[in-house]
Amino acid sequence: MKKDKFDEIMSAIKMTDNLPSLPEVIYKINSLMEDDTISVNYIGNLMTKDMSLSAKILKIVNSPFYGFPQRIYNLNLALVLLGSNTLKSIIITSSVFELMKDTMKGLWEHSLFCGLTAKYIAKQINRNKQFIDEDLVFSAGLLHDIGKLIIAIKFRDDFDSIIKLAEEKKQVYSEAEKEILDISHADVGYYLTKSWNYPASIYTPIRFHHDFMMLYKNENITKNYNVKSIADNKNKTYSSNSYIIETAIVNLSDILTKSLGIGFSGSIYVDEIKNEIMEILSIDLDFLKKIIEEIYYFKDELNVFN
Amino acid sequence: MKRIKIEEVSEGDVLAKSIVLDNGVVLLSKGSILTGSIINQIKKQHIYYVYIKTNSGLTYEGADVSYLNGRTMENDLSDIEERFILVSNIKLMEDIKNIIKKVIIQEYQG
Repeated sequence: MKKDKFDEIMSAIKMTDNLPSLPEVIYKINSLMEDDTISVNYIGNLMTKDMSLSAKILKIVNSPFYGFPQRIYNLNLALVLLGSNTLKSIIITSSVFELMKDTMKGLWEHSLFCGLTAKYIAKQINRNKQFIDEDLVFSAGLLHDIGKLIIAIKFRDDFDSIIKLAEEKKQVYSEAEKEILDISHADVGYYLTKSWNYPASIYTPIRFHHDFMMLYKNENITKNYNVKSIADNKNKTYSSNSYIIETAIVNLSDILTKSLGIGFSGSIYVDEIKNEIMEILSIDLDFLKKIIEEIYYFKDELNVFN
Repeated sequence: MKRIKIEEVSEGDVLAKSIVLDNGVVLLSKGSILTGSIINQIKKQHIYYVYIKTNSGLTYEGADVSYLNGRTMENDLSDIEERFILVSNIKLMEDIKNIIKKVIIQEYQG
């Protein structure tokens, strides 16, 4: 039943240069992603070559998520106000938008909502201490299912079979996927974003967004490693090579997005939020209640990129 | 209940949620009726969104269910039950389901 598709999918990943809606300018900007010294002016110059991208940026800057008091019409001012990390996350967003919209109904809404939720949760956890990069968490949330795109484009029949199986057997997508393919969309997303030279803070949450416990065990996380103990330890700045906090946030956001029934990502069924996620983020049910009451209204804003 | 931009608020709208500033101070309590000068005060605090009550627009005359975008509250609530069937024996997930139900009921009932 299970087909050996690993090699075929890996070669498909290497060929994504040919995917239709990733314009050249986005590739150039992506390759600069890890370079923190790159100037906003330089990115601005690249962007003016893509008018639709410039228009999108202005629309996003003027959306409620960034909430500047005045309307901003000037692209360079927008770039300065947003800063380079936010800018990068917007570029990533617009680069996958068309592709997602065309490939699978509902995936865009699911992905954007998950990204926004992840960013919102990171912000609530950060409070005054900026130890989680909110924009990178947004990008990881936005792109967590990008592997499904590759599978849907290259192996439409298998993709359709997974969705059908999940519906018939009432399974979460990743369970049905295991019965059809020998590689998961999480792994595909990981290989893809890694090949795009995205940072580990993005590709790690993508890789483990259904396998949080695997990362947790691999990294030998101890009971007292959590957001609260990191925040209390004022002399040390947060640095993590495991990106376990970012992964926990993306996993939680994915489940909350499905819980609210926003968009569609292959199966309607909600998966469990592990206790370890609550522990590592130092959050409780009351925190989740406040998050849900706020993010519920994000659904009215999902047309920002249209 | 509906979340709308402050520019789109009309005089006479009723707040469905209190406006709380970052420092914890309650600027306006829920149930307040918005006047022109109150709306200007809100804008000065750099608040972009408020939640207002939407009673009038929601209820279908003669029907005993509320409609929103062609859906009913009953549809939305039964969809939630279906989505959560795999995690029905986990307390945290049951609690989350009930929180979401409350949010949805609140949106329909204004």
